[in-house]
Order: sequence, then structure tokens, then C-alpha cells
Amino acid sequence: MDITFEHVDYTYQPNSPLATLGLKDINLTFKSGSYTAIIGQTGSGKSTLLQHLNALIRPSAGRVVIGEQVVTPATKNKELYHLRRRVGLVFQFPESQLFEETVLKDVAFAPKNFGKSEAEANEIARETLRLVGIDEQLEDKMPFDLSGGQMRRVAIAGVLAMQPEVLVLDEPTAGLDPIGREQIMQLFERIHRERGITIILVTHQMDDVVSYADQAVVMAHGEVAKVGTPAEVFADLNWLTAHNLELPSTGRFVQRLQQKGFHFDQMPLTVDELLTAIKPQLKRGAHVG
Amino acid sequence: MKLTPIIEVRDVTYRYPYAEQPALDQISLQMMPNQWIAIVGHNGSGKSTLAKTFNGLIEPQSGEIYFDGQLLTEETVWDVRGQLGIVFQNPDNQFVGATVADDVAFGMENNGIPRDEMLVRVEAALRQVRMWDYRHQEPARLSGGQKQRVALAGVLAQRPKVIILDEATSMLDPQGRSEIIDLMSQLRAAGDFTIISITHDVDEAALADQIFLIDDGHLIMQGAPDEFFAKSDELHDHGLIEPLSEQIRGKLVASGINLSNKYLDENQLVDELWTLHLNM
Repeated sequence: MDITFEHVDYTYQPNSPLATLGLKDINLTFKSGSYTAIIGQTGSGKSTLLQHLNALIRPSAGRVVIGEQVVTPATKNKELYHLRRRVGLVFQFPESQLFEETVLKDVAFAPKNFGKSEAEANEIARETLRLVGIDEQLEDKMPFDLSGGQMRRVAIAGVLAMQPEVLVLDEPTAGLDPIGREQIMQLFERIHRERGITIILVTHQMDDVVSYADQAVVMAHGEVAKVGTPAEVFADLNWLTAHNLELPSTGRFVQRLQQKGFHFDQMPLTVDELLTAIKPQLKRGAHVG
Repeated sequence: MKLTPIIEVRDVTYRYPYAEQPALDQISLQMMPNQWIAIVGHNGSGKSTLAKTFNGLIEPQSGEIYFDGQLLTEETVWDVRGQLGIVFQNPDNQFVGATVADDVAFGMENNGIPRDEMLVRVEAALRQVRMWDYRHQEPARLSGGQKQRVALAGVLAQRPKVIILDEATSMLDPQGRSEIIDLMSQLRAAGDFTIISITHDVDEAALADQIFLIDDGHLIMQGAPDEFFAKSDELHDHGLIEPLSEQIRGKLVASGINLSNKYLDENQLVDELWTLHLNM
């Protein structure tokens, strides 16, 4: 299921003195089975863009085409019911939305809501919980008795249990420790690869953009400032700095080395690429033995 | 004269109700005054529980806590709480005032500080965190980084001996995070108090004077950043990763480049590489 934005504008509080443009002339395509990262400062329009992906909000002008469904300013809510099942949205700190008495019930809620029987819903919930690495022993616990990292997985399982074709993730690893972060990102990577789910990830973690995404979108002031592969988007460090964007962790280092006379034909995006670029520029005496 | 630790933990054990494993398991450590101290560990390691014992928010089942040489008891706990301020993780959960200035004044009102003195301290604290211009605003309308700066001002206004930042940057965007970290560096340079930052961000920990690694309720190791980050295997075993400069240094040394055999921060590493550059 492709998702396409065509000349999308979104205005907050239209027809009032407080009207502000949230999105301006957005043209983007998220191909079926792709992995896109959306980056930009807080307030750049990332979250507004995100909410269009399953029509939580409708464009003020232009249209969003999600599979066969066309969403325009005139689209009625009723028409969007099926869309909500096909596009799963994981909000920031999703564990704050857990509400059921047990872990299993919480995850089974969505499939039940979308018409599955209790037995079917429980079956789906169990499968999904295993997928995110939650053991059987935890199924009957109160969600709030789990650790922060476990609660996050249960909340994500709640969205996956709808069996969406597109998964939209708003900073899914915020607040987790490095290992927890890595595990969650690996989980999405696996679902993406094995099930062909389209992923759209909003993040401030530029290293994740480099490691996982095949398309990167930079948002600034409600507009698309740049689209390309991560290598294309991160090629010009000065442009990123000028837009107040974080650099991949190698970036800061590369900038400092450049000031000291090191030369890089291409921006190294990983530690290994960085090493490959540095080594030939070091004196022979630098090598031991 | 021997310096008294600002916080000393002696053989402390704490188990949450119904928990199988203790969150703190016979842990002992000493923190010296006027330092920037980082307590690191993965989610669930016990690091936040440990910090909650410092002012009696959690009462250990066994062991003792000493604050500035004084044993923490039911009688002394109120005095200690006046000298130790905490900024919590979630910027949205710690506001009570209708305006930024009211909020900063709240803690002092509770402690019965005279109004004249209060006004002076509110202004000083808000200026210190560069939020004085926002004093009439509603806290809810601020950015995450600004909210945490106001929370920090509320703590500063109490003139505490110890400020604890309990993962205070972990819910912020990169800009908010660097605002807080810059501020912590300035405070350390300016004030005579101890900063304890509880974090799993190694880049933040790298700025501290002394780092404590906690796991399974035990103190695993402690040291200044240069000794601490030299033990990258130990860090990996306990769910953390070393700073980028150490990853780069480690790999360059492994591939035969003649660099220092100890931890280098980014500046030091760039300088060493520069001296090895072909065009030098």
C-alpha cells in the first residue's frame, strides 16, 4: 500500500485570527515496503505530517492517497474506519496509553475491536507478544507491574496486533537505555523484513536513520526541506548544522577532523566508514611495527 | 582534615513490595562534595531507587545513609530534604504554579521563607537558568527543555547542597538536552554544590568528575571518566556502550595505529590524530 501526499497544506485553527500553517505544499511518496525516517526540529511539522498518515487529521488543501483511499478536506470520518486498521500508529511514550487489567487483554483489545472473536483476538495477542519478546508468564500481569522497557513492548504489541500494513512510529525509543533502544529497533527491522511492513519513523536518533532507513525526509517550518537516501541527506554537514539538525554521531567528529586538515570525499556515516577514510591519511610512523 | 562525603551509603538493601529480587543489594558507596557525579546503569538497574534513598523517599530495609555526615533518620529526614533537590524525568509531571515564577516560589513558600527573600531568590534562579523573560508564562506552554530549566530553577532557589537530576534529559529532544547539559556545566563551575545526574547517556556521564555504574542493585565500578571508559567490556556486560571517541580509539589501536592506550575525549582524540596526519 503506497501513501502519497499531493500538495498537502494543513492549517491550525483555520478561519480564526490564530490560524497558523502547520504544513505547506507537501509532496511525498512512501512506497509499499519501504522504510522512511522523518527528521527535523521540534515544531517543524513532523507530528502534523504523521497524523495525516492514518487520517487522524485531514489536509486543509491537497490530498493524501493511502492505498485506494483518497483523503481530501471533504472526506467523511466514516470512510476512514478501515484505514485506521491498515495503518498502525505508535505514539511517543505509548506505555502511557495502556489501560487494561492484564497484558493479554490490553493487546487483544484492538483485534476484538476490529471484529475478531475473543479466542481469535487472544490468539493474535499471544503471537504478537512473543514477537516483541514478552514471555507467557507476563500475560496475566497488570501492565503497570512491568518494567518501563516491557511496558513499551506491550504497547507496541497492541498496535501490531491490528496487523497493520504500515507502521508509523513517533520516537519509539525515547527514554530507553542503549540496549533497550537497540532491541526495539531490531524488532521493527525484523517485522519490516519478514512481513514486508512499510515503516515510517520519526526520530532524533540520526544513527538509526543511517542504520535502518532507505529514505530520509527532512522537515523544516512545515515544509519538506530535503528528501533522499540517508547518504544524500547527510552528505552536506554544513547544511544540516545550518538547519539546526543533529548530525549522525560520526558527523561531529568528521567536522573537527576537517578543521584539522583531514579530507573526506564522502561523509562517513558509520564508525567503520570513518576508520576507512582516516587510516590512509595517517603517517606511516603512526602504524606500530 | 579528612573531607566528609556529602552522601555515604552503607550496606543498603531495599526490596520493593512483592518483588523477587532486591532493587538494592547491600550496596555501599561514597560521594564527595562539590563534584559532578553521574550514576549510570540500564533501565531497571536500581540507579533511580538508589537516589530515592538519599532523602528518604525510599526507606531501606537495612543499612544506613549519611547526608553530609549526618545519619538519615525519621528526625533528620526533613532537614535533609531541605538540602537536596530533585529534577525528575517527565517535564510535565512536576508543575504546580500558574506561572513560571509562582512555580519556582512554591518550594520556598512551603519552607516558610519570607516574601522579600523569596522574590530575590526567584529572580536569581530564573536568571541562572535563562528563563527570567518567561516568568509570567504558563509552564504548560513551554518546550520540554524550558520546562526542565524551570524545574531546575525551583530546585536552585532552595539553595540546596545537592541537586539530583533523575534522567532529567531523557525525554527531551536534542536541543532541550544540550540546553540542560550546558546549564549543568555552568552550574558546576559557578556553585558550591554537588550535582548527581542519573542517566544512561554516556556522553552526559563523560562530563562528570566521577561515574558510578550500578547493576542488579550492586555498585559494579566507579571512577573518573578516563579510568571508567577504558573498561569497555565491563560497560557492554552491563547494558551500556562507551562514548564514540572510545569506540574510534579502540578500533584504531586494534588496527595498529599508534595512539594513546587510555581513554581520550573527542578533543584529545582529534588532537592526537592531527599529530599523526600526513601533512603535519
